[in-house]
Amino acid sequence: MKQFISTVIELKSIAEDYFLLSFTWIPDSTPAAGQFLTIRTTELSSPLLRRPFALSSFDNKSKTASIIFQKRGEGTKIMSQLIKGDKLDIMGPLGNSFSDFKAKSDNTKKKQVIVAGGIGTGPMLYLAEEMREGGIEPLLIVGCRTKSLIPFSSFNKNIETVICTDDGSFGFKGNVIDYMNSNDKLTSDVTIYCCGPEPMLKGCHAYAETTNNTCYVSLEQMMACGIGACMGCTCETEGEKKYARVCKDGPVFKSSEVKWT
Amino acid sequence: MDLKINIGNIQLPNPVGTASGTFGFGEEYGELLDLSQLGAIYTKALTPMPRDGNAVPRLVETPSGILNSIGLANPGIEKFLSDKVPFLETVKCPVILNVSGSTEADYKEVIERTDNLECIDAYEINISCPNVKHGGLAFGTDPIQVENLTGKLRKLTVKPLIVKLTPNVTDISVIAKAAEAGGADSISCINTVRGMVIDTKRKQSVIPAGISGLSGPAIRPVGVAAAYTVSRAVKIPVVGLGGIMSADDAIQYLLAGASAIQVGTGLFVDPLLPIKVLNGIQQYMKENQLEKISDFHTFIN
Ligand SMILES: Cc1cc2nc3c(=O)[nH]c(=O)nc-3n(C[C@H](O)[C@H](O)[C@H](O)COP(=O)(O)OP(=O)(O)OC[C@H]3O[C@@H](n4cnc5c(N)ncnc54)[C@H](O)[C@@H]3O)c2cc1C
Ligand SMILES: Cc1cc2nc3c(=O)[nH]c(=O)nc-3n(C[C@H](O)[C@H](O)[C@H](O)COP(=O)(O)O)c2cc1C
Ligand code: FES
Repeated sequence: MKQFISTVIELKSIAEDYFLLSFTWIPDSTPAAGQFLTIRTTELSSPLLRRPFALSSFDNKSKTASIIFQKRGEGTKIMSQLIKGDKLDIMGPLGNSFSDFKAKSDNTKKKQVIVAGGIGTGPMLYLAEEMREGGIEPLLIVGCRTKSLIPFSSFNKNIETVICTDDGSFGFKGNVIDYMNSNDKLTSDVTIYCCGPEPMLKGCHAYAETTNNTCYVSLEQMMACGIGACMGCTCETEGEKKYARVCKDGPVFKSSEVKWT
Repeated sequence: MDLKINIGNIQLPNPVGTASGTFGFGEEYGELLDLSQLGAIYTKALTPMPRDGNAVPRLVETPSGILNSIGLANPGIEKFLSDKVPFLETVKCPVILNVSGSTEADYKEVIERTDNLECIDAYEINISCPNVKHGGLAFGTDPIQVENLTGKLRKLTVKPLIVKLTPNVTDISVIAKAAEAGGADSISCINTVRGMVIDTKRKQSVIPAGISGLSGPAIRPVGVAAAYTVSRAVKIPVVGLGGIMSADDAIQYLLAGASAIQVGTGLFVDPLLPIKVLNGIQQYMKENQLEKISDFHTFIN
């Protein structure tokens, strides 16, 4: 973890209100898929807190990284106006990663299913890329409400990708869980990795429970420090400890260890 | 130029500390800034038994501030001794333990079981937390209880006692005088200001606990006024905090009468803020030909 001043390389609009922001990476450490960083969006006192974003790619050779973000409120609105050469106050890499679990679970023989939705798309594109480079062929399932929200230019043709839209305007009609239920091949011996809106995380967890598979989810919570010091970002867990810190113990958790409400 | 300040029988190398609850026990921020440059670390609250903390979400951003209801989540004394003390023993700046509880016995137990630790230089007695059902704020709003509790804790230790006050009272000077009469070596102020944010769609408080604690630049004028009021009410040194985001903010507290300051919420925005504040204070002292921290106190009556 390091605080550093990075330089914006490019800001690109990739779908309705979605942007790809690439920037220079200063720390020596290599960030892994699932890890995040925090950005100070203004020198003014509002919006006050740094905003957390998961990495969507990292290139070790050129020392550049990227995030995919959605314009939501004041902080991301400021970020959507960044231009090449702008300076960015970044802290990272923060939190654990999907790789922490990938390495531990000897399940490479199982099909690796990566499920992404909305603002969770960035880290899952990175995870898919990380797997592909490691010689694994994952299946990437991306869920969007409608076609205009699909970041087509961000997908890698070499990764098997299924796109689901709620309204059927592109790809499979239905949500990602509907798709998994419709595909017999996905009921046994898969490992699921999910980042997206809460219903998608819950759905993946429930799907994994009923099909007896393992599922890892990346959680979101309001964060203040982002480094484990303030106890502000906790989530409820099933273990002996009632709460875990999303920023430091997570953001990636085994879905069976999360208390779903 | 002399940046040192005295609190009870100890000396802090400089006036800039990190506020309780925003800095944990220092390990995490130790990766981002040089702890040896700090005037003091004020630790997260410690209670005898571990506390899980309040229901989530515990945080929400407000205009130029944040509202929190952490609920004094902390490891409890046992885990503090086994997991945190080894780290604190390596820390080169003074360490001030923030003591909390629901009952008088809780406060006593924390001091009794940690008083022998060399790595703890002083205690900050938190009688001002708005985020616990019992104790906390209840102690800090009644001058009789404040004097009584401070007096009892005074008997348990020779280490300095810094009593931390809430702004959520009619007249903070009455509470400050009570702490001084009970034997406090210093007063720190302010803890968070009671606040609430309501989600109009769900027709519920955003934070499940309801009324929570407001911090950050939004409360700075409240903090400066409290530091000003308290410094005029007592003879013991005052530690000022609330919304410090720059050296200039810290200087306001010093001019108001504080001898030291703490950076809290500002750390979340910029982990290097304490160092920047310290540099800015030195710069200001040079420009204004101030020799020592008490020279700040000669301007405003
Ligand atoms: C670990 C993690 C990874 C994330 N990764 C991404 C990502 O890759 N792409 C992306 O678009 N978004 C991501 N987010 C969400 C992103 O942080 C919020 O969208 C952003 O902070 C909104 O800020 P704003 O000022 O634009 O909006 P606001 O109007 O201030 O907030 C909108 C919503 O964003 C969330 N939010 C605001 N401030 C914070 C904060 N300090 N900490 C956590 N959540 C906050 C809250 O849910 C809030 O209701 C991630 C969040 C977390 C916790
Ligand atoms: C997340 C958070 C946790 C806190 N925890 C404690 C605590 O455990 N004990 C305490 O005395 N004060 C606690 N406080 C209050 C701060 O120490 C400080 O008094 C207050 O936030 C005002 O200063 P600031 O505006 O610089 O943050 C906490 C504040 C925040 C924001
Ligand atoms: S945001 Fe402070 S502990 Fe996670």
